[in-house]
Amino acid sequence: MTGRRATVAAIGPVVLLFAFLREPSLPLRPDAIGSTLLALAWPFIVWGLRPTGVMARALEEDRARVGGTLVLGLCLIAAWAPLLAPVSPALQGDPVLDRYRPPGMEHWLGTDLLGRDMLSRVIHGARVSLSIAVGSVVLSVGLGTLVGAVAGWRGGRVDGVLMRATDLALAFPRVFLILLLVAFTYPSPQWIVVVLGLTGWMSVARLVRGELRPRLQEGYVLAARSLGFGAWRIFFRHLLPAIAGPLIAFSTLRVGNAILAESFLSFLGLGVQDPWVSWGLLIRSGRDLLTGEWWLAFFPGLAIVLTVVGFNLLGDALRAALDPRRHHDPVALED
Amino acid sequence: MANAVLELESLSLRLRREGRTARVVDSVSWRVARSGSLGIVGESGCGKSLQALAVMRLLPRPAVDFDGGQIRVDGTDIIGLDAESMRRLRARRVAMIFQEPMTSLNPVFSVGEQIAELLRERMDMGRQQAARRSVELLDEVGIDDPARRARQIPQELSGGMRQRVMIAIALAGEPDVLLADEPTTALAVTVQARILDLLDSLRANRGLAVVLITHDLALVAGRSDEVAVMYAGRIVERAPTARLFDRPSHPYTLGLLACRPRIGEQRRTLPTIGGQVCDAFERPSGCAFHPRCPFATERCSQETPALADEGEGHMVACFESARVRETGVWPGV
Repeated sequence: MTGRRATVAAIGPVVLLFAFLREPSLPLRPDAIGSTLLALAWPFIVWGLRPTGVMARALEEDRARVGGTLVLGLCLIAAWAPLLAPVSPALQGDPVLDRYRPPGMEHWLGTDLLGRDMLSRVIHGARVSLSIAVGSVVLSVGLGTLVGAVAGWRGGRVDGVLMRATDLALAFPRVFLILLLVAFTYPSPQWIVVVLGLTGWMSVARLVRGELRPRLQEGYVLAARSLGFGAWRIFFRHLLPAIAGPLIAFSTLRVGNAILAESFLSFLGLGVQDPWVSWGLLIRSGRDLLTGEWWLAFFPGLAIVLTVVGFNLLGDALRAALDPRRHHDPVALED
Repeated sequence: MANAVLELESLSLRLRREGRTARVVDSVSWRVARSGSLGIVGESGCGKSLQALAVMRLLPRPAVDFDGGQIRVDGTDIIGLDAESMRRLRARRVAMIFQEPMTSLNPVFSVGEQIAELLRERMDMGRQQAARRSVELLDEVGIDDPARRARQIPQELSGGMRQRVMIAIALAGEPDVLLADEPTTALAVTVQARILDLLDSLRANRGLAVVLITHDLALVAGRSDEVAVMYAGRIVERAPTARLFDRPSHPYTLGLLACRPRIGEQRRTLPTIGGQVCDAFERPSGCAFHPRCPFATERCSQETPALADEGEGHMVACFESARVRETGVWPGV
């Protein structure tokens, strides 16, 4: 166990050393300085964080270990992108010689039309794609929790109005809503986070409301209510910990979903735009060349598959570990 | 009577399930004065606990909701009270101790923190003062080594101690009325007695009014001024405690008294009341108890007896009460 911990902890310094050997000034470049600091702090973070409680229970399972490793690995690649990427994702090569080079020793994942290194682009794409996915999920989960909590707590007419509004929002095809929102603006990554967040809260609201409702009459929640505590206090101190399990698990599953939504938007040309790089954007630029220059779309696609699989495995295992009635088969949550 | 701190007047509650409604509590009236105590006795499912939840305004609505009547705290009806005023009433005026000591405490905070939470939120105490007071309260409810216990989480305490922690929390708000729903069911007999003694001393010293809800007639015997016996959502007999034990006038009360084991008795098999409590949706016609009642006549299955005063504060809802009182024993004993 300690050996494995040491290996994980060593990743940070190794990445730093690797960057330093390639180019001594690289770790101190302005765009890389944050990554450098994280790499330095990494061994301490690993040493300080021990999986306890639910995390430890979840990690007993193979799917959680595989999923967790994938997710952690991808997050680290995103975090250390400037140190890991061979060159800048925007660096163009010789218009004749470096154009559409297939994967090889010099460019592991080949180059694109402008001679840009695909490996660097995929690594930097992880930053944008993962940030958008995580950001939009945080936004939609926050919003959904708020709506669901108010509906569940107040009950009666407030509940009716809010949940019918949720049904209404859910009845609109999400793509249509997204297109509508995107149509009015120039798509920046921040805006895409907002758009995906605003169109993804409904199922969270339903989940929270459904989990919350029966708990209002349960043991210490009822006791807390009988003591005349305010609604927010009861919610954050007594209810939220109780529903955290399904909520965390569900959120994890949503991340995979958001990655796909972002790539879909970018693929349509409504998502991330140059000079930003995202996986969806990369796939889009390679879509017409699949039969010839297959590497353009294949590797970003592979990255998306690995991310979604990683988050889904992790979410599944978390849901099982957080379920008070364990040993039950996980039931699929509908979107 | 102006000095009643808590008064129910023909309170009715209805239960709605699958489009059908039933009255689970039907026109129940009682009152309890300062320093007074009332015992509410009945089998499970007779609506005793729902009354307590109704007083706290914590009914599992919309499944169970008010269906007429009044609940007056110091003369003010609280059924129509806005949520914020109701919130301020809880713990400070009316407090409740719940049945399950195992689930009624939050498993992730120490018991000291949970008492202090109430003191800080509702009693405007500072952090240090609240911490000190919570240890005092634990001491008051008879927990040994209170300073150490305050730092423990509920799972580290026994059922009896948790129940006492619950009582400490309820008392922390210095309420006028305490609704105790089976406060000692989970406890050993000696602990039971200590807790009831504690409630008695609080009645005497602080003027606390206690409503003791239980299925155990013996428990209320020495502890309450008045006893109300409930059957199927109604009060069937209500009388000063001594009188009720002396001259039980409702067959159901008679049955409950007969089912108790007594010290020094030779008999090995305890008598039982045949049949079972009726479902709220399948209430028998007339008096709800008549299918199980050895005194039942033709009239009992057709008309519902009203709660009538038989003098000296003794109320009975039975057509045959005179005959019951005269017989004085459960037939078949």
